[in-house]
Amino acid sequence: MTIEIERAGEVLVLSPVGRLDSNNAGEAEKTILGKIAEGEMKIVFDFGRLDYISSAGLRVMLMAAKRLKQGGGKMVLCAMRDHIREVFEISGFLSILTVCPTRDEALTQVG
Amino acid sequence: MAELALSLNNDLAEIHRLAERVEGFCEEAGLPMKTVFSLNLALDELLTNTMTYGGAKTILVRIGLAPGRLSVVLDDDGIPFDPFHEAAEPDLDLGLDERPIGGLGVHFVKKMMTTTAYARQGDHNIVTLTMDLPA
Repeated sequence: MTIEIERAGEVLVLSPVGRLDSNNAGEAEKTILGKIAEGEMKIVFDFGRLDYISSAGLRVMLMAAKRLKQGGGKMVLCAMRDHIREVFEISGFLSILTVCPTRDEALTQVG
Repeated sequence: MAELALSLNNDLAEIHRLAERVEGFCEEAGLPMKTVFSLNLALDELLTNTMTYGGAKTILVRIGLAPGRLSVVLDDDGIPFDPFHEAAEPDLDLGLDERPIGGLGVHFVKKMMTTTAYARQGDHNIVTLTMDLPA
């Protein structure tokens, strides 16, 4: 897995590519929480090229959401493929995280 | 009945190797991608626990395909651990602040599989899963 990092004004767009699982969740956690620690307040996660996520990956997303909220920041997820979305759904995460169909909508939503 | 059997070392990178073999096995059998994904997720969650906490040296994975049903046996030589009774059920209705980090893996397995069972046989943990396939 790699995480592509782009900037759109105040918003940081992070795109994990490939698999986000127990084998690389530690690395992803370091990258993502590192960005939040550096002061990023608005993060969009573009999952368009994420092939696979397990509970280890969801754990990282939940940690990021909590950190951002504590610091007054915000994150929005977007472009999830159906099988990825299903994992978020059975986790109950669709009701606690903001999810948009497209990156454009996510950028608007994260403000 | 088609069968896939694979022996894994205690290394998280082995889970991806297994996933690729499972994908090939299921594709050959004409199973839908959604089934393959669910099966691989369940295997990943259980094997991650076994490898991270169980101290197993080797884990044997056997997947059998009969008409209408997939069956899985995971056999490891780690410490005794019943994933289906010792893991707490997550509360899916909690808000973002209250929601604890972790505890979702076994929940996924129960959601994805039709039946789950555990037995301790000698020095081995035996986890048995079945998944009814869409007609």
